Amino acid sequence: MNTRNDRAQAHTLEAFAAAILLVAGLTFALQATAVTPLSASTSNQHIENQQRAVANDLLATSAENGDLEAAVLRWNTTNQAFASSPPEVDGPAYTQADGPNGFDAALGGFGEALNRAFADRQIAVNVDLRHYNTSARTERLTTPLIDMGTPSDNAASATRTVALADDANLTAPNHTDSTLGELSDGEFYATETATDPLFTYVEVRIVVWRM
Amino acid sequence: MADVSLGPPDRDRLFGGEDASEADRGQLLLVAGLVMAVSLVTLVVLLNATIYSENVATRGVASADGEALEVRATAVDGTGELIDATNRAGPGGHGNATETVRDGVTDLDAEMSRSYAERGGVTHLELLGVQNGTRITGAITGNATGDPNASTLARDVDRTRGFVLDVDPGNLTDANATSAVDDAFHVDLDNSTGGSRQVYVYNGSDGNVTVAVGENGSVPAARCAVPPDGRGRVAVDLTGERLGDRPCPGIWPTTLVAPDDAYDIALMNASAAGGEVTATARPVSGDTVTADPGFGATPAVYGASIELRYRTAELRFETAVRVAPGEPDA
Repeated sequence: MNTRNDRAQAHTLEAFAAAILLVAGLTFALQATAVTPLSASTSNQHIENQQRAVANDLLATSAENGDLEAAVLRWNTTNQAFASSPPEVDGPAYTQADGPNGFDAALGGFGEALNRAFADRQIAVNVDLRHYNTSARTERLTTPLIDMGTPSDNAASATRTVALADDANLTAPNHTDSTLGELSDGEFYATETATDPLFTYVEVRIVVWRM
Repeated sequence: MADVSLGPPDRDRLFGGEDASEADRGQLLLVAGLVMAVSLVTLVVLLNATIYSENVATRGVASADGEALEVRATAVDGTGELIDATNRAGPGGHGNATETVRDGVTDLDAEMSRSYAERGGVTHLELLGVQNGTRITGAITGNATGDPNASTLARDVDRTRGFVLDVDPGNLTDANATSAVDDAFHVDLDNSTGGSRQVYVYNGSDGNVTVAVGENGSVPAARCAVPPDGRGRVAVDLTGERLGDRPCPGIWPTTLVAPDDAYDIALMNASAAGGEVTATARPVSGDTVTADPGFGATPAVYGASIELRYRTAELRFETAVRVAPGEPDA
């Protein structure tokens, strides 16, 4: 065979290789993005899993020792806000873990647990309380307990439902003599939706993300 | 090394002359280089995809498990709070109490169905049955009609839960482990065949509220202590094994977690303490536990059995749970 004829074959191979290189380059370029501490990746996924597990366990232990219920009941009926939440904040929630004690002073044992698990490690946390509007449960309302901003794309969440009884006392200072059953409509953030002797169910939802 | 330089223009070398092998070599090297580059890039992409797939594949199971556990916790916590709230309200009889719990579980089922439907899950909660008992409350001092220092809180008990002493630290006797046997307030748990166990509560030498556990009247061993910190009341949760707001393992005798036969609960040296006592007990037979008349005894639901089903597109979970909040762990 004349070696001159081989050149066409080499040209064809070269064209194929170039085409594949272009496609592979494009694919790689599309997959590659700037990696920041907040961008999605396999290592980031592990951290999300860990944070979700910590949030779940924190809710479980707080529910077990009663801290969670105490925090949910820390409602000041006069101000229509959670006790000691800063007045400059729009809405009833605590905004940030400011001050040397973070959430401790405001939320007792639950706040202390949040500080140790998240705030001290530069992990932001939102806590929302979700409850239904009527006993027919047509619409779900959300009352923020802690609002540290908008979660990132890599936030992890955990939920736990707390049953509140009619004879449960509020835990806010100067309101500890009031029980939920004695309050008039609209004084507590959640309306009575459950049958007696329970008052309502509140779903506590924690959202955590790295700051 | 191969000579790939072009050198001065030479028609034969550039375009192939009679013998074109020298011109082909540069082109083949280029092709080989391209193929190697493409292979490496493909390898990197494939490796990345494999790692990611493995990560995703091993991740799903754990989160699905967590979901089922969360549903279970909602059912168990909700039913537990319902039972306790029903008992606290002081129902007229065991029939009324059961009816209230049944209605409450139906309502909890409605709440859970609505709540988990938002996540694409179907739940069903059903009350299988209840176990009757008695809720006993009263002041620690001055209850007994007979001996003021040895009053029976409950007789012929099979199981106890939610047994909490709310003691006033200011009224507790100062004692140490040795003097506690004679002087300190204690709870006597007398098992008809297995001997007796005592749980002592006193002010230790350091001023802390101290809980000690003894057996058959022997010198007790201190288990834990908590500073009163000016609090009016310190809760000693015997079945929950907590002192104040801290865990205190080992204060409830392990032999009485699931005893073979009945035991009596008595408050001894009650004048050496002040405060309140609360307990819910299940009798060894019948529906009611007898207590000394000084205590308030009301019909109560001791525990309930519920059946829970939860189903999503990826998960099917079914379990029957016995709910008795505040029962000692086995």
